[in-house]
Amino acid sequence: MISKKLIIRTTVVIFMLALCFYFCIEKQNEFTARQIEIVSLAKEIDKLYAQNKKLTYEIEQFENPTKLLQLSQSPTYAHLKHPFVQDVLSMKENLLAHREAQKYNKSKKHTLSVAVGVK
Amino acid sequence: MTRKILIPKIDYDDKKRLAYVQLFLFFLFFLLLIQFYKIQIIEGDMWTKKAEAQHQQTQLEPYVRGSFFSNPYVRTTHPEEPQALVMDVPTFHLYIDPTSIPMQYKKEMILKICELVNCSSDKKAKLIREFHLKSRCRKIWCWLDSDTKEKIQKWWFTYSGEKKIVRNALFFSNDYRRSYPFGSLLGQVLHTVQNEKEPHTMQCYPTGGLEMYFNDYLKGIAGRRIIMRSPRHPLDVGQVVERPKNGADIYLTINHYLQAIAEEELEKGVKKAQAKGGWVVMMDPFSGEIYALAQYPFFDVSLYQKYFNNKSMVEYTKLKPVVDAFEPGSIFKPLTLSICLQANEEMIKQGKKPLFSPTEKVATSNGYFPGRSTPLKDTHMHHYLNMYMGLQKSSNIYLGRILQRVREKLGDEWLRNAYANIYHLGDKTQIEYPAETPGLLPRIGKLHPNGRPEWSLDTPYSLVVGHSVLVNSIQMARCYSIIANGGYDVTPTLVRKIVKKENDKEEVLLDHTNKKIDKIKMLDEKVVKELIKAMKYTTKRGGTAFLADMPGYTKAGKTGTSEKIIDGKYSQQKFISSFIGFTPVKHPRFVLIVVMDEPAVKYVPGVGKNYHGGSCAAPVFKEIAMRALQYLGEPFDDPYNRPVGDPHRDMEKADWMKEVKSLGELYRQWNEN
Repeated sequence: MISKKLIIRTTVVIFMLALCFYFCIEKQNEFTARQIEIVSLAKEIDKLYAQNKKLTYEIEQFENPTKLLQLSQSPTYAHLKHPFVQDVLSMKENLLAHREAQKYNKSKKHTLSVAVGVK
Repeated sequence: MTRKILIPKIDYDDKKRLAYVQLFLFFLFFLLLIQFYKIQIIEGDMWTKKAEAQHQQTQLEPYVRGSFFSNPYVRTTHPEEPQALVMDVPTFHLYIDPTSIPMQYKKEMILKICELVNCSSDKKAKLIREFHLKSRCRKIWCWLDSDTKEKIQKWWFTYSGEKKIVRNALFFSNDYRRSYPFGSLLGQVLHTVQNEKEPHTMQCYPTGGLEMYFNDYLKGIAGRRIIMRSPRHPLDVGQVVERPKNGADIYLTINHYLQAIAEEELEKGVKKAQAKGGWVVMMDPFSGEIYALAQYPFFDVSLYQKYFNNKSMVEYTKLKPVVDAFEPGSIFKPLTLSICLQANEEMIKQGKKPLFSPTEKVATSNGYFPGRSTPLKDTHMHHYLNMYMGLQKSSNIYLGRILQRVREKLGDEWLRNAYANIYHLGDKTQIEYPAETPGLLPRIGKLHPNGRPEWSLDTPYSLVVGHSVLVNSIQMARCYSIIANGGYDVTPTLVRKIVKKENDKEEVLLDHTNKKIDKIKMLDEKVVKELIKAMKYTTKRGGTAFLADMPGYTKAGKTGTSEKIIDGKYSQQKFISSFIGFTPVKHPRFVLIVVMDEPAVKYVPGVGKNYHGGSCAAPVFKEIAMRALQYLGEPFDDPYNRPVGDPHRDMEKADWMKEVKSLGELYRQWNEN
């Protein structure tokens, strides 16, 4: 006769094993899903990187100094002049906060340059 | 009832036969084992590679070649971010697998691809050939941008699905292309790389310039990507098994805006002077940083093949201020004068009388000098001159007389050593550019290839007029920087720093930004002061470079016009005209040399001879310097010297006007009576 106790024990063991097996498969599926996701994300990142490069290039093209020089000579912008060094004030941004920050960590000086009196 | 099974009796012969069969089978099995060992162990790698080659393809993953960045820090206020002068932009190459494409669809595919990539008729013929080759992989189009790639892909995915063609019969590979956002700006300095890359390493072939000089820094290492050949796996997806290593970025000393100003004004100047070409060098006299290095006609690097395939255009790809040497002419006079003044100091050190005084009246009507068969001549006859007038009028005879005293008292060797040690003439400046010419400073006791001595009795008098010596424009900018910065040595440079970026980490491979200026004194302060004083007269009334007199700022400089040597003789029709100077005088922001190559020989009313440095190069200096100082935010240091009609104009109060007037009066007293 098979004892009742043995049956219960066996059932628990089988259940536990099944549970472990289930979680193992679940984990595997999760990894596989991530792996698939990584490929598509990497592709997307590459695409964004390429787009960023292209846009940077286009912005740089737009900021071509030769073009800017031509623009500066056009009647619309002819009134604009480069400010003299003495007309540009450099003010410390958030001086107190900066001092506090300096006490704890030797961070870089944050300065804000403001041009005033542009002729 | 039980049934008895009768087992036949095996006799000896049968046993023997069975043993043979067993042995044979065992032998066969042994052979199999040997073959297995041979295939799996001995030839394992080879077969693995063969198998992988059937299913996988290794593609090189391109690296990003380092970029060149401009220097925005020349402006002390509001510096911009460094701007890329060249950058690698992602592009794509289009490939086909002709064997996977059914014959009946090839024509249709060719037509569609031609339409999408805007293909010309001769390229179409090439495309047809590629489609009919027996190959698994043909590159049919290079350097496609991402928009065109997307268009092709969109069409292909639908088309291949409809016609049931394997999707990877058409695929793309990634690459980077050298792109120039500012067009031809700084073309000769940067140069470019060839379109074709080394197929096994994806390394570029530089055409020259900084691309070649810094190739070891700029180049990276290509990575590897494995892609599957199976139709189930589209070829554009694959695992990167080795990430590419990108090249290092180079931060130049060149400012893009100053460069644009220099190029624009140079182009205008060359066209106005009807010259063959011209060039400009702008250099910080304290740090040696080159802010602008322009040359006209320009070199559009994106069309490099057009330049290299045309003999007359190859010349435009050379950076003449660095690789070409020329006889400097009168811009050499301040150097000679500084050596004469230095000789005075030497005499004082030796406890002797100085050789001359800057205010001394020197007779300049006789141009005969020992060793010279022909006399030295001035453009105008002057009876008497002092040092300031000598430089103002660019007198060959005055300087010849002073130099005669120097060589008589101190000797030729002292003189030659002074040129070599103070100004490093005859030596390369070590600027970061390939094929720099060292120029030539005649050596005592050495012979030219034609057998004539390099240094003879008349050589010092040739040096007076800037002949018998060869310099490049960077050397000249360096010499004037030594004068402008108070007499200290300076080394020209084109590079601020080189930075390698990898995984968000920056490694500085070379840094010139924290470089302390070599405080090696080359000229005495007294000498520099006198020299600058004399050079200030040249841009004022009565000077040879009055066209360089820009309003609002003080300046000092010298014009030069030298005859070009054609077939071993000085040409009377081809000249190199130049102006070199610095501004503002007290604390110069830059030294600027403008050189015009073969300006038209003609007379311009109100200006003078077009080919004189004062007529064609000095106005270019004025325009570039004025716009550059405005960009740098430099305050006026000569506020009363304003253009005619300006309410602030007051020439009585303008800088150096009193001195110019009194020198003019003295000149008239000495020469008009």
